[in-house]
Amino acid sequence: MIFEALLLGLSSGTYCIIGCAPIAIPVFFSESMNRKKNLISGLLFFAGRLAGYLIFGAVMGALGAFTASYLDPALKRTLSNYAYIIVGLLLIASGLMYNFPRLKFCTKIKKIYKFEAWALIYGLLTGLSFCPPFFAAAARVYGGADSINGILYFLAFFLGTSLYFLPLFGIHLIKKHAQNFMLIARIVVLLMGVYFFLFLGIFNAL
Amino acid sequence: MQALSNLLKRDPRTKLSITSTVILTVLMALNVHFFHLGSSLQDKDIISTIAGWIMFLFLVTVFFLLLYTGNISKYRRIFFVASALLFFPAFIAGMYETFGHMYLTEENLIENTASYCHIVTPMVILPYVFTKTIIFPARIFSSAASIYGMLIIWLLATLVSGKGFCSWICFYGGWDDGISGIRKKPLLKIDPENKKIRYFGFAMLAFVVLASLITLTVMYCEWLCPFKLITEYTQVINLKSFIAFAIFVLTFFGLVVVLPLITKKRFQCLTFCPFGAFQSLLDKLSLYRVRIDTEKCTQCLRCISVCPTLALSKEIILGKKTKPHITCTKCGECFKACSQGAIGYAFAHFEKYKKNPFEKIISKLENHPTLIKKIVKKIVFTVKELLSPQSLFIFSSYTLGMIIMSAFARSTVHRTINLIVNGSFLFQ
Repeated sequence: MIFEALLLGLSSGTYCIIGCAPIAIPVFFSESMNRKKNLISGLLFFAGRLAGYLIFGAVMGALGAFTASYLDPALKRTLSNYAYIIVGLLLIASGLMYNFPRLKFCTKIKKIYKFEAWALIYGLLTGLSFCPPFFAAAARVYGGADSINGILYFLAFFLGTSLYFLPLFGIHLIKKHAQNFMLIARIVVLLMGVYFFLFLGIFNAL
Repeated sequence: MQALSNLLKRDPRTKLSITSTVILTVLMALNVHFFHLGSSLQDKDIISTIAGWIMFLFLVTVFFLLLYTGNISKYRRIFFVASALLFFPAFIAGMYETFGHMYLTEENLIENTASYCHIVTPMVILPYVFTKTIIFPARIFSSAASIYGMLIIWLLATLVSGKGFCSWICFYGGWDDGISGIRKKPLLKIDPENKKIRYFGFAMLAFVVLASLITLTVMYCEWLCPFKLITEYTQVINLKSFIAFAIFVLTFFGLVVVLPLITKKRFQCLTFCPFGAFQSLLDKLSLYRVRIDTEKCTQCLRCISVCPTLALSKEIILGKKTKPHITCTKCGECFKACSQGAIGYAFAHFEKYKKNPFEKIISKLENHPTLIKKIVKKIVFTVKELLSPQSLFIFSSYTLGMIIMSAFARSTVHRTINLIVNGSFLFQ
């Protein structure tokens, strides 16, 4: 079963990229990076994703078949909408801070903003981004009705999907036009925030 | 008389000789005949034939004037704006004739009957790589605006013109290009050094590509495209579609009309069009570039203020760099502004070969009798002109723009004459 989870992660990792890359790419590019910072932030992002997977795996495993009745499409959509709204708000906050650092609101954000910590939160939220392979893994786990089993299954699933995120550790290697990349990524963070919050979150909930 | 003399006023820095102009115009006339006139001559409908002749004369005359006068920016703009203005009436009429209305219903989308628009190209690539599906609801083959047909033209245009697509070929770009050229001086000055404005288009590109990837829909078309207003608008049936419609109105009037008018900058193309930024990234593949001759340049900085896409800045000119920023659309506005003729078209890949073979031939002629020398010199000069990057770039970009125009321009002219004569813009 663990091997199956690993294979599921490896085979469906491209779908995970579809769900996670739109958040991870602009967020990581918007910070100036050195090798050490890139490594720490990347690991924290991974740790966040792992935490998201393990929490969900444990809950699904513990609740077992009970959750099956709740995983109807309407609930999935509602959960996704909330996740999008939260991610959107966080992205808007960081986007505003990057692009309009002199605003009073932004100076307040800056005080509580620490990129490494936010990388962890983004990792956690992208881990819970409810993409199709994530639900496939969840469907297997709630059949098992066992927390430990659920955690192990999602751990293997995480390892399989993580292969596709390794390029995140190479962002510091981009030296040519790095300033322009950063400028563009900071605008993208804000645009993505508005898109997640309004278009995917609020408008879908209407 | 004064107007005619203005029309024919030649720019010594960029004009071609009459011999080269005539040769290239004859070649262009053959191209235009094939794409715009050929089928209409076989048509029994006299109005269709007249429409074909109008397009033929218009396109050949503008091309002749472009080369003869050397006023690249002026005649390119006439050609480019005409393309934009002739596109939407034919498109809307086609929508009414095919669907009975100017919007696409759910059924139309399921049947993949939308016309493929080149702007969505960067948005369909990644979803295709990951899911093996094309997320735009158009036919793969079997129509002029099919995915296959448009991608072939785009690929050709990218290899030849690169970012020049945005000033010579795109049938939307003529809107903000034309409007940005209306006023003589801007009401609102945009700082050419402003990097946020210059690179905003790239942020838009990254944003719409990533957003399309996460939703597997062409989100730019669904929510943002300013040209929805003049092509296939969204039918307002609920709050969501009302919001989308409001965004289309705002982006069209804001980015395509108001901002270009008051700033003289091509705001929609520069900051909002994801395809424009995509073409900038692919410009390295193209055969031609705009180059600055740093030896001729006197650093007067006049070129900086006229560039409609912030492709020239103090960093480039005072830093004695030979290449403009990647937002350069090869429109030729800076050629006109440069009194020294220091800016012009160049080949992208033959810069190393500085030795000009034509100069060598001319120098070898020194000992020949005067008449032979004169004739050979003239021939060599003409061949040199015909094979210059300026002639080749203009000829190929104009040809590609003209081919795109053939899909709709004659139809609009035909319909307009039909409206005047028979009182109907629609054929059915």
